[in-house]
Amino acid sequence: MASARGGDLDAYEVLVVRYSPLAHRTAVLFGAGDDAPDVVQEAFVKAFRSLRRFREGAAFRPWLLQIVVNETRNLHRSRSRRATLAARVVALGGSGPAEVSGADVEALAHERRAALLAAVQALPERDRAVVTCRYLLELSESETARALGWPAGTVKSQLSRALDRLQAMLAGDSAESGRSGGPRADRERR
Amino acid sequence: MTAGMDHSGLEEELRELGRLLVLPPAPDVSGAVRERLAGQPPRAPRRAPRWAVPVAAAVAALLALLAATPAGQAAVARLWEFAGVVVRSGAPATPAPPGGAGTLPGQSRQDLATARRQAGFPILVPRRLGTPDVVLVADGGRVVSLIYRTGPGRPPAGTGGVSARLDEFDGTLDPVFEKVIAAPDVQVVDVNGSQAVWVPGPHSVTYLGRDGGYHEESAHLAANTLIWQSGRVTLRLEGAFSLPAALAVARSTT
Repeated sequence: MASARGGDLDAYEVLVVRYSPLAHRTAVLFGAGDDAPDVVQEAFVKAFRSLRRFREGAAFRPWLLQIVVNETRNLHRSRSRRATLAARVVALGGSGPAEVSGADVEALAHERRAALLAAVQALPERDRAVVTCRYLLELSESETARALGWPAGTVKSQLSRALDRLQAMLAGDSAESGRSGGPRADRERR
Repeated sequence: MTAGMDHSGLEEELRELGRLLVLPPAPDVSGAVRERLAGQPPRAPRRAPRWAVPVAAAVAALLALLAATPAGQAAVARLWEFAGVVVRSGAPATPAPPGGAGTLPGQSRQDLATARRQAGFPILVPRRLGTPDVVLVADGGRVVSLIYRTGPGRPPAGTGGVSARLDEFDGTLDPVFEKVIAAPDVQVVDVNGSQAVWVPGPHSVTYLGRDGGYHEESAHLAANTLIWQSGRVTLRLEGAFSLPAALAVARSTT
């Protein structure tokens, strides 16, 4: 880090290579869609240019991710569109040949994951952001707070609300199968 | 719902969901970043690759479909899985819960004659495996699965007592066959003059999906898989076959 701060592009390139996959994943999950590569490139350029402001001893990873998240949000604002969580639930595979009822279990697992992904996408923005960081990206609580630019104490309570809401949406889904979408009516803005 | 209830199961499911999501592979931006930081004029934003539009459209269409019924969700997932967009995730074969697990949404068990009437395409049956023990028709006749239990000329059963499974899908998947770039053990082989893909055992695969986008995923196939086409039908054979045995089955399929 010290040499990168000094402007050493070689040292910085090591960081770029190391953190590109996570940065890209973050951009995609926050809805950058096909612009994710541009978001990642921009984030690394901005991060380098503001290395001066980077606190010595702080972790680079959540700091970078905060820039990625902000860049993705800027993209949404500038395009006035919000790409969906672009991950494809079709990516959820199954296992090999199993008993016929086993194939049904596999299908049910597919269905459950599809419902879960749909529910995450239907969450209000802050809930979706915290769930994405904490679980889909598997960041720690403090990294999540940093990446989202939230006070440290906010993550736990927001997560708890988000999980309650997800649980309720999933319960509602199985109670009235066939209903499309999730409960968007209570979309919150804070 | 009250706050503070136990969500540990849901939390674990979400982590698993994150691991199973297939995202576009991360681009290598290091060269572009370095170029810009070295003081060269900022590059124009990279043009979206040619497949970006179809991918976006496909994703949008897919998500629209996913918003439909759970049965629709499962059917879509399976169709796309079939079309080669999906490499299997590493989920181990799930043991069936006592009392059975119900039926696959949109899927019904039929005898072969009824299935032939319902399917939107001619069902192909490998002579080498004999008569299928179970025939499943799904998605309004677009997908048919033939299930084989152990028997003469069939490979040993995997977990659950199924020896082989042949899925047939009304559709083709040309791009996949041209761009299978995979672990070294994935082979492009020939079945009746058409290219086919042999995917042995667990491994990672990167390939061009039906939507035109590259997909990368760690796959842990519980068995070997042969994917080939016959006319407008795409077939996927799974089971503990050797490559020659799987090819023999494929060539006996008419």
